[in-house]
Amino acid sequence: MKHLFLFLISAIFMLMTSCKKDTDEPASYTATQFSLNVPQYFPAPVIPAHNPLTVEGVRLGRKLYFDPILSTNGLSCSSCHERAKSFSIPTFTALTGQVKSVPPHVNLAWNTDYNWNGSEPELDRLCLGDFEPEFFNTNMPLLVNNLTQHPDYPRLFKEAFDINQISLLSHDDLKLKIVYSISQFMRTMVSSDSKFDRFMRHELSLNQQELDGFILFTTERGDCFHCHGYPLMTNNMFMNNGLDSLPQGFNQGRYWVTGNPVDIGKFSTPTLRNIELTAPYMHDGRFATLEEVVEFYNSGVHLNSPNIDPIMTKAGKEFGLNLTVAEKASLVAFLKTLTDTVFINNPAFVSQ
Amino acid sequence: MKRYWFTLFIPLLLVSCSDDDNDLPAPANDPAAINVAVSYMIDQTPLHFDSILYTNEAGNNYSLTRLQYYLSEIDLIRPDTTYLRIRNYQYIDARKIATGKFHYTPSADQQFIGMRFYIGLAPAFNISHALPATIENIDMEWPDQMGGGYHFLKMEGNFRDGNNTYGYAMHLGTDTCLIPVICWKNFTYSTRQTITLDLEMNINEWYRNPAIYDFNTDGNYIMGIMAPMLKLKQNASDVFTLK
Repeated sequence: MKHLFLFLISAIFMLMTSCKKDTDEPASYTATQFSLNVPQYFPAPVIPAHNPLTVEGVRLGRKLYFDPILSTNGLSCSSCHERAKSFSIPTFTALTGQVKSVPPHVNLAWNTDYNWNGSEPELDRLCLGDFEPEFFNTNMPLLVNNLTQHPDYPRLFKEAFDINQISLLSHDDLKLKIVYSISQFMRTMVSSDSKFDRFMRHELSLNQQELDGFILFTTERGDCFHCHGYPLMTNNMFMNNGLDSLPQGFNQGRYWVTGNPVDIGKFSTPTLRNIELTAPYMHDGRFATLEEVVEFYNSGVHLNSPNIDPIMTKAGKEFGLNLTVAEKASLVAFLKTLTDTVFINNPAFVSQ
Repeated sequence: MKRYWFTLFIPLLLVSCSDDDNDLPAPANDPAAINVAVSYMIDQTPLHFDSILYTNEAGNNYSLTRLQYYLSEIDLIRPDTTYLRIRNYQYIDARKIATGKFHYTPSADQQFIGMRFYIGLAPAFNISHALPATIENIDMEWPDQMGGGYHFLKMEGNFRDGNNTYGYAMHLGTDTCLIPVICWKNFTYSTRQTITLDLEMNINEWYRNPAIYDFNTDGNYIMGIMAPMLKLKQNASDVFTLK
């Protein structure tokens, strides 16, 4: 019986200590969680588990976004994404000669696809293409050397991703960490303080022309709201709005990605936030002004375009919206209430 | 005796350090559930998006490009006509199969004789911005200028009239157009066995019984136009069948 008692005491001790964590293990590094300041009427942002927002990651991404260190041609992300233009520039001409409108970096945390034809489904990989000769023409050994010798970057990479030595990363891994951090920074670029936002929060009034435009926008007369609903001002879908009767080349849009004929002519619906700042318009920048855009919807839609969205062909629209001059001006006035000067002047979005 | 106690302790030691996550019941031990899965037919033909394959009662040849809607206040009906609420509301996009699947786990064995629900959002939910601000719910909002709340249904596509193709957009909303549905089916739920109910929508039923709906004469774009919206509503009470 005495042996049994000793055995029980020993066993209980073993049980009490057997689940103790091994404190000799080095604690795994955890960066500081970044709290995205988003109005409650916005949806939850799309933040993947493999690239969570952290204070340190955003800090690194912000520095890289404005730094030509990534390129051999003096370019940085901000070269083609100017703050005054809602982090966009008018157009970009690809090596193929194709002119493309540059999408602004605004509220990307809610996009579910990227590029006009949705060729990239994940923001965290979107910038990988920027290392190519068409953009940064990055020399990876040179980049590794420059980052390693830099007074700040070794510390910033360590803080963001627990990277002790940049030069030990493979080039692919380094690229991935770079674009992860830039993606984190871009997710913080939230616009929610335009005049229209403040109107919706009952903080101010729209003038009569803006209000008339708002009503046109959100009723059947203008019928803009089905694709550009508040607060994101996009429905995150691929749609053909009837730009071309026979789309060719890049104008075939989503088809280039899926190869499915039902996607010919479809493009990602762009947000209208800061639309006043992002001329020219449409995927190829074919319209120079908002007035031209409104006139297109008013009278220029190609109803015979393949896969044109049914919303564009409703009865009564055969001859366009038939908006009056005053109504068209009101729509443009309303669109300009989506300009967010607080966003473009946010000190968190400038070079540090 | 000593050997006996030792034998008892070995398994105790072995299991005492398991991760908490592993202590969760294995899926096989989960309580049995009632699964509901929505499917789509056009009479005897399964739904394929984007092709003008179908013909409605009015003779319109048509396709579907979009089918998004809400079901709300989804109840199972007991033989004594009491109800078991299994879902307050469910957003469904027919292109995304997962959105048409949901489940409920009753606490006891019981019999049911059917299911009732609304197509659309019951008034308690059909208030502007009342639903969580998801991308889907925001996309379904019905502008305040047109009454507020949410679209109950967005059913869109194209139809052929002679040699011409036109779009259509059957959009329903506002409390007046809320569609009550009852589907009868006897079934018994046992806590020991999961059952799956197939809730099948026959899309052609939107366009017939009691009234034939013709895109050409009744309208191919109806949002906010009460007459065609109410015509669809009166046809819709039998678009679903519980199988």
